[in-house]
Amino acid sequence: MANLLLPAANSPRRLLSFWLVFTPGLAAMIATAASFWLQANWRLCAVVALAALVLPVLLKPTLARMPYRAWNKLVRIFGACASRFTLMVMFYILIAVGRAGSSLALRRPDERESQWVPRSALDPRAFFVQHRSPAKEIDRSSWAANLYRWSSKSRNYWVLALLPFLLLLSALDTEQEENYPTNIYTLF
Amino acid sequence: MATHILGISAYYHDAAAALIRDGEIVAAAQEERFSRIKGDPNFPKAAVAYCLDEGGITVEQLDYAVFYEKPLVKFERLVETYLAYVPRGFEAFKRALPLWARHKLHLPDEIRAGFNGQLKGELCFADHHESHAASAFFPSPFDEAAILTLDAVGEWGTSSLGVGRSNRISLTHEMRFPHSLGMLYSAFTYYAGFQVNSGEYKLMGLAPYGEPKYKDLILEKIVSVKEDGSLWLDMSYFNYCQGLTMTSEKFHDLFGGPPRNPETFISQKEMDIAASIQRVCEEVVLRAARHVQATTKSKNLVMAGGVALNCVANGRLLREGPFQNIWIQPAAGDAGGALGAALLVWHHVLNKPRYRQPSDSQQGSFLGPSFDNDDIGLFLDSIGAAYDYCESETDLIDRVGHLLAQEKIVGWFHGRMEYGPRALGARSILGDARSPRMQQIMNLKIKYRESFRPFAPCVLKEYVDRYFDMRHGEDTPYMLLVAPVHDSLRTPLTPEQHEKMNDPDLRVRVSVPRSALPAITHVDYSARIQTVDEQRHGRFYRLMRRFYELTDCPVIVNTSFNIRGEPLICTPEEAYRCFMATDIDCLVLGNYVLLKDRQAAGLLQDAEAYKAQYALD
Amino acid sequence: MAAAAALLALFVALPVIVSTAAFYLFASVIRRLNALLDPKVVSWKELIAFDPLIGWKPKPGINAYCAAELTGAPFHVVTDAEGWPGTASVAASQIVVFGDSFAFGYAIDARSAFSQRRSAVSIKAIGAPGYNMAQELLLMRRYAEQLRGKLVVWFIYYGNDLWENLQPNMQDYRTPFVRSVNGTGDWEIVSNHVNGARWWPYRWDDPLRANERFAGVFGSTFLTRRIYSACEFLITTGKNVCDEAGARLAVVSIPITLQLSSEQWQRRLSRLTRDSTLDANAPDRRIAGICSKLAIRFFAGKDLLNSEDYIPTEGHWNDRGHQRIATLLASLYQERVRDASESNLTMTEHLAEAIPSDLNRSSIA
Repeated sequence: MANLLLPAANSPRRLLSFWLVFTPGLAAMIATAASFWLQANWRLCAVVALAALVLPVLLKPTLARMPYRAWNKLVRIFGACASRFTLMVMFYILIAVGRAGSSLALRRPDERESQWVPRSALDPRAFFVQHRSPAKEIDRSSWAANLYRWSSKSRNYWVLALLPFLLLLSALDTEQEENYPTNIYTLF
Repeated sequence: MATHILGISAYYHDAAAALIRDGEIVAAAQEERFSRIKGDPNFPKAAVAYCLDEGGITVEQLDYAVFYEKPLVKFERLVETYLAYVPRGFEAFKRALPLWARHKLHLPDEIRAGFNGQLKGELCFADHHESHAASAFFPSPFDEAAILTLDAVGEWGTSSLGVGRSNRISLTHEMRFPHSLGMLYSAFTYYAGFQVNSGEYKLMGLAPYGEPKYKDLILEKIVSVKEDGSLWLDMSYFNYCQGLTMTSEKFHDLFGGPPRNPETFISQKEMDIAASIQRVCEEVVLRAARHVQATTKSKNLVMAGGVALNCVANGRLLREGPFQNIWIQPAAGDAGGALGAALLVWHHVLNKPRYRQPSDSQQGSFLGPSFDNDDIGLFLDSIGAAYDYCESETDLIDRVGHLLAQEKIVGWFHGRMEYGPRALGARSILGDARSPRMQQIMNLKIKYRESFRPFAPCVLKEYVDRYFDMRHGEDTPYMLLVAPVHDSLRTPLTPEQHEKMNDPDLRVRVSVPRSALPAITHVDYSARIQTVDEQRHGRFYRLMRRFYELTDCPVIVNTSFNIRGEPLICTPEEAYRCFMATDIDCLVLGNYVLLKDRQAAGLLQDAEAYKAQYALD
Repeated sequence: MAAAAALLALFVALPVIVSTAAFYLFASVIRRLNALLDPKVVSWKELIAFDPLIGWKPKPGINAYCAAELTGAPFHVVTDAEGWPGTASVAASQIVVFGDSFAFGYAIDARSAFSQRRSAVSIKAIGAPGYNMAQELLLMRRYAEQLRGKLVVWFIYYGNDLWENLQPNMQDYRTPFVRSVNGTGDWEIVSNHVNGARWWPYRWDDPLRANERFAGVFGSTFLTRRIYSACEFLITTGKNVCDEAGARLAVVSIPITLQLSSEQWQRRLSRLTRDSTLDANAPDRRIAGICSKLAIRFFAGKDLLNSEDYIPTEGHWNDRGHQRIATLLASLYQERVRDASESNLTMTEHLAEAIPSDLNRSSIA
């Protein structure tokens, strides 16, 4: 789900489609600069800039290969930095919420107090969802809707505070492999 | 029309797939056997393809696909853990959240993509410990049994107990993260310098070399074990919730130093720590078993979860525990969750009855692919191997029986591949347990591994009580119980041998013969036993019977057909390559017998290059 | 508390959110445009069907796009009523080429393949990706009656043909292969195992196997003796088929791109785990020797092609490579038959004149 990255430029069609979407913005910027510095007609500058940018690539699409790769490189750098920033912001939220405590039982209990906690069997209707609450019908909604529904059924409303940032992290996926430590139990 | 349900475990450890048809197990296999990546956690595409092939169906014909746990409940546990430890834990947090945001919160899409979008049936999500419980109870031979599941952690549960009756399981209690017997054992595995999640059985194998000197310290400081087998961990000694290591500095200070570096010298301290934590683990298991027996009043117990692979604890449970009968799922780890999840859908969601088998319905755990003699022959011809084809089984087992009796090491490849971590006679390396040299040769020249661990014996079921402290005819076909070698077989140590038992080099200690079956006898006279019977094992049983006729010994060494770090071999080609890269003397592929000294020198594998393919576990 | 923290966090993260939205929008528009412009691609498995003789063959009447395995680039596939590339028939063609993916024109649009180009000589290609020489020989037999008077050209690709001849499978497909008859040095074609059932799981990216095969083709190992002995058997049998059919046989070797670049060759050698003396020219020498014994024309593709004739990272010919092959085949057809012992050297030199002058003949010491 690499949302920001462009797919491999393995055909002239892909290079062309990238360039056709990229150039209007670039042409507009050039036209603006030219009309500002040279006092020229903006529309004329825009048309000239657009033609100058588009025509060569129409004739030889491989000219767009370098800007295409540059885009993906830029996106990877942006993705890495923005992801890191987003994680820090999310962690800040956790710090704030964490002041209210967590359901992890860390406090030493009474010596005779059993640590066996009662639990129940999973309702057959709950097999069709990703959580334990029975569903009236099979849930085929998106992951965000699933998360929302689960948070309200399980009364973990505070998780909704993380939802915008989870969406942001998901959008910032640039397929870069994370470095996971090898000699620790994979808890996540 | 038959109902097909496919269970899947993936994304954590040991991905696997299991297919059932109308409640009967059709096929089950771990992905690592196909991908050749040990403990492969990725979506088990190849295992799924195999299961569907074996079942003669396509993805579109699946009625249900079921994942073995609840992702959103797991996510809850994850964030609650971070909440409990903030502001610490950012390093772990920054690794976990992107993974969840980009993949694990999208699990339905990821699973459907794993099926190439062709899944037409319903996608379900089971509960982790219920999946374990189902994998333990439904294939068992019991109509009613107490259930105990013990592992590191699923969603929130780390252990659970309950009861199974007819076609229902009911888990009544659980222990919740972070208080986990599995995590405790893994933390000590880490501290002793072994790989987490694959080295636990090494810690178990190291224990007999030590004294439980640290047991009281562990029980006083680190873990509080209640009378009912539940436990509470002092998390200040651990770092796995908020950090990237298992143990904390406080833990290291308590035991007088940092964790042992992997592949370095194992000192007496590690051996004593292993012995200590092993005793603690056994104590927890025994207490939990007594508690569940008192609650359920059952005489039968079924177990699953990674900790259920601790066969020393299982052996004590059988001998000292309150249950008359115990059945443990051979694929007790996460791979078995795939099977359990599928069975849960059949019995709980579809409310189908259960038809139990008198011995069990696990089919010897031979649930993987098999290869016919024709294809094996084509393969051998394609590489120019030298072989003999035995027309009859009688000729074959006679020949192999003689080779074993001559202390030759035999790679044995026959029938369907095992499901679970143990080789049970389908993909096995066999040797004469009576040989004093067998342990060393197998360790150094075949398995290429640390040699402080003995090998496991197979014994004809009808003779198990003559050779081991077990009941006559005890049925333990899955190598999940440890029992002492019978007194009558033990040999007293000479003063010189006693001296060797104090040698810091464990290879010297383990080489001291202490019974008539030195290859399989541990330093404390224990052995991890597999009973072999004709109904389950067919040709393998008949081979052992032939060996018994030749030698008057119904016990042979059975170790997995692989080298260290390598998954169990799956195909004839993998068997051949392993054969040619090690000092195995003879390879038996179906009806084909291949002798090492007859193979062309050009077919020998470069042992170093072969070993280098696999990371040390 | 959570709500307040979340609102503050949203405010702080606003620039990131806006930037991400901009990037996301841009990428989405491009992806949508790609979806409109890209042809609908089918997988290779959807284009083939089981064949009881040779294991599998392309379906007849294909007019679809497939994605190249390594680059993912789509290419247009067209097959005739029998499933072979192009629309010409064997009967109407003057040259019939048997081979694998190179004969098929893999990774390039159908109209650019050597067999589809406008030429004075019509060429029919019979082959499919993954074929070994045993399959190609069986096809030669199948079409023997239609080969009278034609030039039959047999492509041998050094990437996999030589060792695949000994394999009963190609990935999970069952294929005809050759095996030694009781160690006598004679060979036989085996095909009775060919059925619709899958072969067992097979890892093609296993580096140990890859090294063994590489050393087998370019070195002097146990595998080397077997693969060239098997290859000689196949070529001899092919010659007999052509002689009986009244056709002329020629063999053209197709180099792997490693053979065309010293740097790549050295890098590949450095990945070998065993010491071996490998020679990039060894396969051509061996095949030339076999062909010379049998009075068959042999053309070393390595002397005629260079790395610019291949699609980068894909390993198959590009448009220029196909053009050169088409020219080569046309020239070949125009030539008169000379004495077999002279023909290889003389023909190569003569054909070199027919190839465009910008040819860079690279050879690796």
